Amino acid sequence: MLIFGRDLTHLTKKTYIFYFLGSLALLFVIVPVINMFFASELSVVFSAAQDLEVRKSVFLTLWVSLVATLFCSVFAIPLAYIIARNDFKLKNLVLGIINIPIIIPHSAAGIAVLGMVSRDTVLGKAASSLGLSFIDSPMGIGLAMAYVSIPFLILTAITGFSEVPKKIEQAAANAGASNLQIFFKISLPLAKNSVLGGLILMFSRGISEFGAVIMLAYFPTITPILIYDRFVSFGLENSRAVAVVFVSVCLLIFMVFYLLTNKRKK
Amino acid sequence: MILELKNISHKLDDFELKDINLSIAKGEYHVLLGPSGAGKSVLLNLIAGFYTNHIGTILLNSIDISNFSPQKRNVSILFQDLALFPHLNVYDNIAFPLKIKKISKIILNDEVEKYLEITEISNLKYRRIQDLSGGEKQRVAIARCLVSGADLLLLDEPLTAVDTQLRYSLRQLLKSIHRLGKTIVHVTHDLKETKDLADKISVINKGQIVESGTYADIFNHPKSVFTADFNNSKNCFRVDHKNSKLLQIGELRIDLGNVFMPDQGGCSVFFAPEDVLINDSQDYENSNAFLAEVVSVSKNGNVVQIELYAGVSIFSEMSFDSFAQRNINIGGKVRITLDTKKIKLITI
Repeated sequence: MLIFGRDLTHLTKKTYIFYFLGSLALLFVIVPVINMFFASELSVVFSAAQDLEVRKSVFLTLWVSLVATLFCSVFAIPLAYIIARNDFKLKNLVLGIINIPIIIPHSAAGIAVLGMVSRDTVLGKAASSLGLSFIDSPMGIGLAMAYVSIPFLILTAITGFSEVPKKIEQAAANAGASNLQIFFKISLPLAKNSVLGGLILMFSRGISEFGAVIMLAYFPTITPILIYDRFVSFGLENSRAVAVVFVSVCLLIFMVFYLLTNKRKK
Repeated sequence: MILELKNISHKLDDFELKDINLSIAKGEYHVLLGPSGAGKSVLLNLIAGFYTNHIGTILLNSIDISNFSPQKRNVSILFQDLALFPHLNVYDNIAFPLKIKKISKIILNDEVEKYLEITEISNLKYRRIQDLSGGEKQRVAIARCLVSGADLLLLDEPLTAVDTQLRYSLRQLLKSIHRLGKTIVHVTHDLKETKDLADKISVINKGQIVESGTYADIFNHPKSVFTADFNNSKNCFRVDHKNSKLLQIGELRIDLGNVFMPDQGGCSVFFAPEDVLINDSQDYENSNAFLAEVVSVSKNGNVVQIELYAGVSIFSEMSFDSFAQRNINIGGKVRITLDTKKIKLITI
C-alpha cells in the first residue's frame, strides 16, 4: 500500500495506532497557530503592525531578551562547562537548583525576583543610588526574563560540553594549551552548536515570558503583556492581531537563525 | 636516563598500578607489552600527567615532574583513539601545538610542512579530519605529536586500529621517527610489533612490571610464567613435582642433574627453542636425549622452526644452515637433546 509515495505495508495495526496518536499531538500544536492566522482579518493585522505602541513593545521585547541572553551567557556558559567537566558530590543538587525556574510557576518566580530587587532591598537601594530601578524598567524586564529562561541555556550547553570527548581536551593540554586556551580553542568551538542552540532557546523563552515580567514591570509594556492588555481592554480580535504580528516577527527571526546556522554547517 | 619511574603506585576505582620502576635511556625504543587491562595505558597517561595524586616519582631528564601539569611535562602522547581536533583541518591540527606557543608564522609553516613530509601526508594538508582514512588519521596524530618538539613520545597502541597492510608502513614510519633521535615508549599487546620495533621491553601484567630486557632476554629466558605464556606457551611446562631430580613432561623423563628445584609449591620449567638440539652429534654432560616426531617445519628469515611431538609439543629453532646439515623430515623420527644446564625453572 502506498501512502504519500511510501510503502507502508510493513506497518502493523499497532504502529497505525502510534501514527494516529502522534498525528493528533502534532495537530494540537499547529492548529491553534494556523487558526489564529486565518481567523484574523488582514486589515486589522496591518493596522496593528502599524500601531506605534505595538511596534515599540515588539522592539522592546526583542532587545531586552537579547541583551538579557547575552549578558547571562557570560555566567551561564562557564557554569555549564564546570558542571559538564567535573564530577562532584553535590552535582545533582546543583542541577536541581538550575531547574528551579522551570518547575516553579512563573508568576511565583516573578514574585521571588521582585522580593529581591524591590526598592527597599539592598539590591533595589543600590540600583536607586545609581539612579536605576528594577521596577517598571527594561532592567526589571530583563531580570525577570533571564530568571525564567537561563536554565535552558545552561542545560543545553551542559549537553554540548559533555559531548566533547575528554581525550580531545587532554590532547590539547598535552600540546601545551592552558585551560583557558583549551576552552576557547577546543571545547567551545566543538560545543558551538549546542551553545548556540541554548542561546536561541533562552532568547525565545525570554521573549515569550509573561508571568514573571508582569510582577516586575507592567510598563514599559512587552508584547506578551500588551496582548493580554489588549484582550482585557478591547477583546479577542484586537489582541489576536497583535499576537499575529508578534508571532510573525518571531517566526521570521527563527527562520533567519535556522538558515544561518544550517548554512554554516554545510 | 631520559625517563625514570621510581616506585610508582596509583589506585583507580577497579585497578591498581603497583610499585612500577622503569628507566628509559635517551634514544631508546621501549615497548610496554602486556594484555589488555594490564595497566599499560594508565601508566602512559600517568607519565603524561593525566592522573594526579599518584605515589612515587617521575624523573624526566633528572627533573622531578611528578607534580607538573600536563602542559608543562614536555612529553608528547599519541592516544589510542588519536583525539584529533575534529573542527580543524589537517594543517591546523598539526599546527596547534605551535600556535599555542605563539611561534612566528614563517617558522610555524616550515615546521608543519616538515612534519607533513616526514609523515608523508603533504597532499592531505587541507583535508578535513572526517574525510581521512584510519591510516591517514594516524599519520596526522603522529605529526601533531612530533611538531611539539618533545624528546619523549608516548604511543598508546599506535598500530592497533589500522589493518595489516597499513601496519607495515606505519611501523616503517615509527622506525624512521626513532632514527630522528626520539625516545619512544610504545604500548602494545602485539608480539610481532614488539619484536620488530623494540630496543627494550617491559612486560606488564595486572598493574605490575613483570620483567624488563631485550626481546631475546625476555622470550628466550623468561623470568615469569606470564611472559613465557605470552610467547604462545612454547616449551613452557607446569611441573607439580616437589623436591625431585626427575621431571616428567609427557613421555619425557628429564634428569635435572644439579638444577635446583624449590621445595615449596609447584613451578614451571622452560627451555628456549634454540636449546632444543636435533640430531646433534656432540655429547653433552648431563644431557637428556629422546626420540621425537617432526610435526611441522617453518622458515622465518634465516631461522627454521621445527615443531616436535614427544607426548607434548616441543619447539626447536636453528639456523637454516644447520637445518640443512641435519636430516629432518616431517613425519620422521629425530633424536633431540636437552642440556640440563639450559633448563630454566620459573617460580613466579
